[in-house]
Amino acid sequence: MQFGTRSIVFWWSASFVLIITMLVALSIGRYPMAISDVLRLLWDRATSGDGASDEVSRRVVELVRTPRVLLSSIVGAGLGVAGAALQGVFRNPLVAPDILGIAPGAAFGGAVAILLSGDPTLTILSAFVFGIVAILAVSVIGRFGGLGSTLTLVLAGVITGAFFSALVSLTTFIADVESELPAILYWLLGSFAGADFGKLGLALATVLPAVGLIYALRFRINVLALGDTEARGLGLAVAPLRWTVLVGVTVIVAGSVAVAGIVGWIGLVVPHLARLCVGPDHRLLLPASALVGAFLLVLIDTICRSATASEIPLSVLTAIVGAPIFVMALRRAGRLGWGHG
Amino acid sequence: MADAHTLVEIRDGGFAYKAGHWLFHQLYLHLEEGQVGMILGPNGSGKTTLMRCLVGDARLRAGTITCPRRLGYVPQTLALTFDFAVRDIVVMGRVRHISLLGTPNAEDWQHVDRALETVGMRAFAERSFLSLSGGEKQLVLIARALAGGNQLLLLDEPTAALDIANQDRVLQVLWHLRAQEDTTILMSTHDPQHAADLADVVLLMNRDGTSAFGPTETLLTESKLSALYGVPMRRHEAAVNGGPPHVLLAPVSHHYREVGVQ
Repeated sequence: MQFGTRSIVFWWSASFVLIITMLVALSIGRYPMAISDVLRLLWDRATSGDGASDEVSRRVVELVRTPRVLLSSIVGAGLGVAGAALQGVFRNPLVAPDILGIAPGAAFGGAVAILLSGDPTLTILSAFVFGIVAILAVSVIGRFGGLGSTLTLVLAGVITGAFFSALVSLTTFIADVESELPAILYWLLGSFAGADFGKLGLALATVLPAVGLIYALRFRINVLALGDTEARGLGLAVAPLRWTVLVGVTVIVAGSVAVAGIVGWIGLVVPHLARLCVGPDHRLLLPASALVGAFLLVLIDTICRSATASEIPLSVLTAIVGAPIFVMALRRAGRLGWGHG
Repeated sequence: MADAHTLVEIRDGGFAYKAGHWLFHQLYLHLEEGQVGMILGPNGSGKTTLMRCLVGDARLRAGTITCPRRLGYVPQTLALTFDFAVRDIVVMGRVRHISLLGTPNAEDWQHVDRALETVGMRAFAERSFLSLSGGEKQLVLIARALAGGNQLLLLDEPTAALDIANQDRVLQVLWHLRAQEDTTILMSTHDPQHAADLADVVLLMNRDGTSAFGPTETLLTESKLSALYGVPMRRHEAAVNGGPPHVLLAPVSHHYREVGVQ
């Protein structure tokens, strides 16, 4: 493998960095702790021992920070995989769940539910349903384009995304300024502030199976990344594969939107970082994107909740971090001659 | 009816992008196992479209087509968005043999190594595909088609973008496949000399949608080729290195000096 030795170094260092980041994230916050205390707490928990840790630190780590750190890592990993899979099946390094209309669709679903009832279960369900509605709309509009080509589908995604973004704006316009608007805005900018084990369970139940499905298709995603005609010539059923991956991506995105609101940029930039490390082969790229995504989102969320007295909205920071990374990716793109395919 | 040895057959084949405007029609093509067939014709005569019909990427508007489902298609070029390694490109030729949720196993990689060996590209297995020259890329794409264990190799102008040395390399590999491996090959080409050198049967596709099919020696005549390309063509027979006479085909040199710009 051309990336062989590099990728072994990558796996070890990335896993190490992720674990360290998660530990540091557990120790940082309004109630700071030493990493050694965090480790002792976790050790006590794991061995059911009755350590010397005091009750407050135990509650902070167990009930507040652990679900939050785990949730941000799951969502980060999921969005990383979703982005990598989308870029593969659309043979386009510039697509992401936000661009294809899935995330705006899910956001609209969530916003409407907040507007109508405010019940969290309904919000989550509605985000899910509208994520699916968005991707179905993309499929229908894509068919109007006739060719069924990747470009038509990407354009259909842009159209759908713009439409749902407009609907989301409409809900903020209608929303009650006192009660509903803050909730909707919070949701649209993304946050892990409400993380608990219930949300963690929901994220696991949606993200894990979908990531598993996409990972199982890793070799076929490689083939599809050559382009439709090529893949068909090699004997691949192109449309069913692309739609299977799209459904997986929708489940991941809807799950993430449901527990954290809109988290922009992660799905776009993480695959680029991962590709720099392990190359374009999805057998390596998908797990690498999961690792990098988890690391990046845990890091950004920790900064969000601890940099200032009040929480910075998640998507603000992901954009600030993501934009320069994306510029780097574009430079690389120019060198590889993307955009001529 | 096609007999047991027939691998590819098109009868009364017609294709039109717009109703009534035939790109080609009443086209006949017949290729038996182990034969090499070549498709000749000027730009826009429908060679690539015919290839797409054989691959299943386009559908004939008229006539019948017999073609093995397991065929290895070799495109002119491969525009890669992501820079895969040569091995990873070649193993994609095995996708038919790999289960839906599976990845390549040891046997698949053996096929990959053997195919790369056959085209003389084994040493390039770990290289990035985009770093290869045009000729090397073409050989890798042929290896990918071979790795699939296909009954038919279908090549779309495999030498179109290559210099003479690289054309020679590709033709050498095709010659080896025909002579040693009994591979059935159907390819389109711009160079009638390639057909004279390698083909058992040829299909001539004219701009007006008509076509002619037959054994190489009966179709590669001066008059037929001149009409096909709209350029006077010469046919010589010469013994090379004391061997049997060899057919040499070429456009009449410098004829355009006499004609002038029309």
